[in-house]
Amino acid sequence: MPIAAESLRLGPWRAGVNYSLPAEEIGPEGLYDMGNCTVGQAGEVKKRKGYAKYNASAMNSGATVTALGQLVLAGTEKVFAIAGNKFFDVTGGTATDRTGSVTITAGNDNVWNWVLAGDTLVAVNGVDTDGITWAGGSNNAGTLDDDSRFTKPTWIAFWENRLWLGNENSNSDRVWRSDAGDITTWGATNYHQFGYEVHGLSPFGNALAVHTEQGIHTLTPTGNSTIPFQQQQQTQQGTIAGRSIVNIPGQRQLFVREDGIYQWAGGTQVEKMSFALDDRYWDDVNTARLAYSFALYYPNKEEVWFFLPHGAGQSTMDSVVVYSTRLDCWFGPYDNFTRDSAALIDDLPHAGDFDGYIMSHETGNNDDGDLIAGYFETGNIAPVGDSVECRWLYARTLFDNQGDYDVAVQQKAAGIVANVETLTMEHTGSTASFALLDSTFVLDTSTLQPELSTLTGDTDLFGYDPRTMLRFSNFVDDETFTIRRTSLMYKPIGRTRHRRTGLE
Amino acid sequence: MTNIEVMQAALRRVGLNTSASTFKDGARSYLNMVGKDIQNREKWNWMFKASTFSTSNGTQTYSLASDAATPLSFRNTTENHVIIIMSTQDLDAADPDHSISGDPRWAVIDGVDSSGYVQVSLYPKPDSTDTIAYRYYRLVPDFVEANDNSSLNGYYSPIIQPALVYGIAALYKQEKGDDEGAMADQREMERVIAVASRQNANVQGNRTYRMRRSDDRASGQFSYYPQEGSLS
Repeated sequence: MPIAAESLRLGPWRAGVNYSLPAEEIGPEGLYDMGNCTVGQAGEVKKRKGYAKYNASAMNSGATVTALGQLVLAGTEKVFAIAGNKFFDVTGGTATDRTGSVTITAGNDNVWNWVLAGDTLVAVNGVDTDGITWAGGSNNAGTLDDDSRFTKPTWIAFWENRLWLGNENSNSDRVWRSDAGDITTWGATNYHQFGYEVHGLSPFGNALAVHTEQGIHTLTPTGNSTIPFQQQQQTQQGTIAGRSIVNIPGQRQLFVREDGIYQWAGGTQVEKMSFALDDRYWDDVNTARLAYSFALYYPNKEEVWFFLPHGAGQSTMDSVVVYSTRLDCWFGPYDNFTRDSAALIDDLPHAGDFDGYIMSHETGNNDDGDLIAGYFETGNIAPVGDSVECRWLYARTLFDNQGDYDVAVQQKAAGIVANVETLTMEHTGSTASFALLDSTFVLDTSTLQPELSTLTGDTDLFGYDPRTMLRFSNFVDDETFTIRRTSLMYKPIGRTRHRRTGLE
Repeated sequence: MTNIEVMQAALRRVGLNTSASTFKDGARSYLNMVGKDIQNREKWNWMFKASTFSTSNGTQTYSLASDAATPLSFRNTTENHVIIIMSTQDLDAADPDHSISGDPRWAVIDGVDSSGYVQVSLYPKPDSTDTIAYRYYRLVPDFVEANDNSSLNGYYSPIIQPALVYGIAALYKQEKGDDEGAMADQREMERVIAVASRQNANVQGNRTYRMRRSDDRASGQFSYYPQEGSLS
């Protein structure tokens, strides 16, 4: 006999997570809370991938990795890293010391900013007197010739065939430019003064964006040899963390400020993008250390990863929140690690830790052998309004057929005792008989089998309350899940008077 | 089944968490309420019990067992004779100062003691130690949390126990406003009680017999012959 029930569908969760609203104000497409989960392009929520060591042996006796990157030098793709006081060629995962005679001062906060300037890697950290150069091959790193115009530059850009360096030791508000086509020639007056401490440089469209906390300034070419660049303040807000500036498709620039993450599209205004992170997430960000936050654009998934210090007194970046440019939503955080630098290597996010390793993220289903604690919580929705009591019957969940992995499904509501049920992420009992067709299918050899990529499972719901919500979680090593949506079956009871708040 | 099994089965039907004390407390209250309803539907065979007490020289009044609701009969097993139930008025008329002692032949249902237990007075007042056996219709006490893991078999026949599940569920659903669901469970409860009632009627024990027809040739039949004729 069929069950006389109404259905409330939660998901796909294309709106991502919203930490600024109570669960009761979040709709079926939104998430109230999550950790170590990703929102996919169809709005499905899946446990994030793990990370593994890129370099098998720790660099420089386990020193902090303050810079890393991948770029083509002398026609060869190279991976480099700076760990402690040494510069390494880490191509292929084997670290070779290429420090040579350059001076690198170790320190967790002595992080580097780098660019490919033509055919040369140039990096600066605002601490060491001169920038570092590297031409790849078997060369050692060298010292940038800046004609002794300045020392200890912090920010770097390569634009209009010139190298640009900002916030040097004597003038924090100054940005220097090299001669065109020559990164070693610096005119005595070839600089721009902005009046405020420069916090970052980033080419943007036909301009170089110079960030100060008080605004974004642009330098644009004039075509005039005497005054080759025009300086103009565009906005009244700029970043406080130059490594967090990320340019994304659609001619947009994202960056971190003390109260959140902003977007600049080239006009006279900036727009706060991270309202969804306010309150329950951003309130716990250690803003005193935000200047050391950094970000990374992950093109394959059209995601921007922001590495932030989350927690009272948290000095290192231990939390990643992700902005999906495809879905225009937020998800995360990812945690269970601390990072000091990040870059895209082999199209995947990589990040430097504090123990001499580059970690390859988006790899495997564990965090270098540790479990990933993945969970997410839906909105707390009253399908027929706050005044109508519902009896919650069961939930039918659509998930990907991924293996014998148990996902805990917890029901939560004010008037309902939290209850945990279990869903197994495969066809119960006989995975093999439902194996998917794939590229290994061979005519006259392979068995033709049904293509089951998604499955459904039912879990019990309990209690009486106008609203309810679900929490999905899996904290087991080498296990994952992909939940596409869930339908909560309920029976509307009607309007009933509660004797008290909560359980009765 | 144990109390908790009955309560949890009912909570599952209602759709409530079966381990939360709030809901178990509610289910236990309803178990006690439904139990009283069922106990008093009819004279259930499994509600009859027997016990004994001992008399002592010079003591006239005795308390019965704590679960004795309705005393039915008494007998002196030491002296091997029955004790007839009489009224308090007859006792007072026969022995106004309650001073006569001897081998008690009558028993008076004499209210309840300070604990609420039914008490009886014997007449004449016993002058020796005898064992008085008695039968009674019992009362099932209200269950508390400490009884959760006790078996119900000592209180309710297994055949009636499902009615407790449905009865609890019906009352709980009413509380939650689910009248439709409550009626469904109420129907189930009545169905189980009806089955148990038929079974109870077939027990050849403490049942009430209808007077027999005169032509069934059984001894002691009731005979009634309408006389033919006319009044003149």
